[in-house]
This record gives sequence, structure tokens and C-alpha cells, in this order.
Amino acid sequence: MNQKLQPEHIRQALDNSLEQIGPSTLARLRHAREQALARHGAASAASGWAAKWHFDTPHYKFRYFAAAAVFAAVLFSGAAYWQQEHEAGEVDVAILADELPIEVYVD
Amino acid sequence: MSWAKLTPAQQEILRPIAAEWDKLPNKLQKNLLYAAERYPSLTPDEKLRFNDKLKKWSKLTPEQRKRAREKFQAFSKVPEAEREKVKQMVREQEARKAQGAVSNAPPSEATGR
Repeated sequence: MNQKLQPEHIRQALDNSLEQIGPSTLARLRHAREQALARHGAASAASGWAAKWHFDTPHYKFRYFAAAAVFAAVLFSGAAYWQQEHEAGEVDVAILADELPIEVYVD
Repeated sequence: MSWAKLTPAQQEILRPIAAEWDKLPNKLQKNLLYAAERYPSLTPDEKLRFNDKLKKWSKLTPEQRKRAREKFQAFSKVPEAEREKVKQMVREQEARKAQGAVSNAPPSEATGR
């Protein structure tokens, strides 16, 4: 027999053989199927979370580093402003306390 | 910041400019408050100079103060020997001015009689 088996033939053959399986065998098969489905469900949940983490991590890390960079920039500019103000005050003190009169520095 | 809000210690140090304080720009007020904090650490001579110059400094325009700060910072970078020469010239000039003021004064003041 060289004819190619069609899907419906395979299905029919399986259905026919199913009718020949005894009740205890069917029960064992059903139990095994349920166990397999349960394992597949847990694995799907775990892989779902893993997939979520896998797909989100690059974005999460990017958002984290972007926020850290913004915070550092704000901190740095604040520190630079404070430093500038601090230096201006220091120069004023030095001019006022200096031996030379103010006129030397004023046009 | 109004004069009334300054601490007694700040008011004591900044007393020469009490009348002008409320009209001063915020930035200058901040600088002078910082200067007042540093005042206690100055030597007696420095404190005298500080008191003498405070009023004059507050009367300059913001642009003049900015230029003065730039010139001062540039002068600070000149070698010590050169700076000392400039200071000596200024001292001599001040002495001549003082001498001139004494010799131009009426005879009773000049001789002390």
C-alpha cells in the first residue's frame, strides 16, 4: 500500500483504536493527560513571567539609568550653582578686606 | 531679605549700609550676608578695611562690581612680587594724599596749635 495517508484517515484510525482501549487504560491515560496539562500550565505561567521580564528588562534598565542620569544632572547643576554663588561671596569678602582700595578695581 | 529679618550679628556687621540694605539687589545681599559670615575670621586690619569699603561697594553698579571681581581675580594670579610692588605704589600714593591733605589744611590744624 503506497497511498499517502490523509489527516482524516489518521483521525479515523485513532478513533477506531480508541474504542478498543479498556476503561482502566482510558482512566490511566486521562490521569496522565491531566497531569501533563497541569505541568504545562505551571510552565506556561513561569515562562510567561520570564517572558515579561525578558521583554521588559531592557526598557526597565533604560528607564532606571535615564532617571539616574537626570537626577545626577540636577544634582550636579545645583552643586555648580551653589559653588558659583559661594565663589562670588568669597571674592567680595576678599575685595572688601583687601589692602588695596576699591578704586583700583573699578574702571 | 529685609533689614528687619537679619540677625543682630548680621546687622552689627552690615551697619554701615543699614539705610541702603532694603534697596540692594538680592544677589548683592546674598554676597554680603556671606561676607558677614566670614567677617569674624578676618584680622582686625581686615575688619577695618571691610567696614570702610562696605558703603562704597554697595553704591557701585552691578556691572562695576562684576568688573571689579574680574579684575581682582586676575590680579590675584599675578606673582606675589608684582602684587607687592603695586601695593607699595598705592601705599605711597595714599601717604602723599594724606600729606597733601595735612599741608592744605588751615595752619592751626596743620601745626596742631
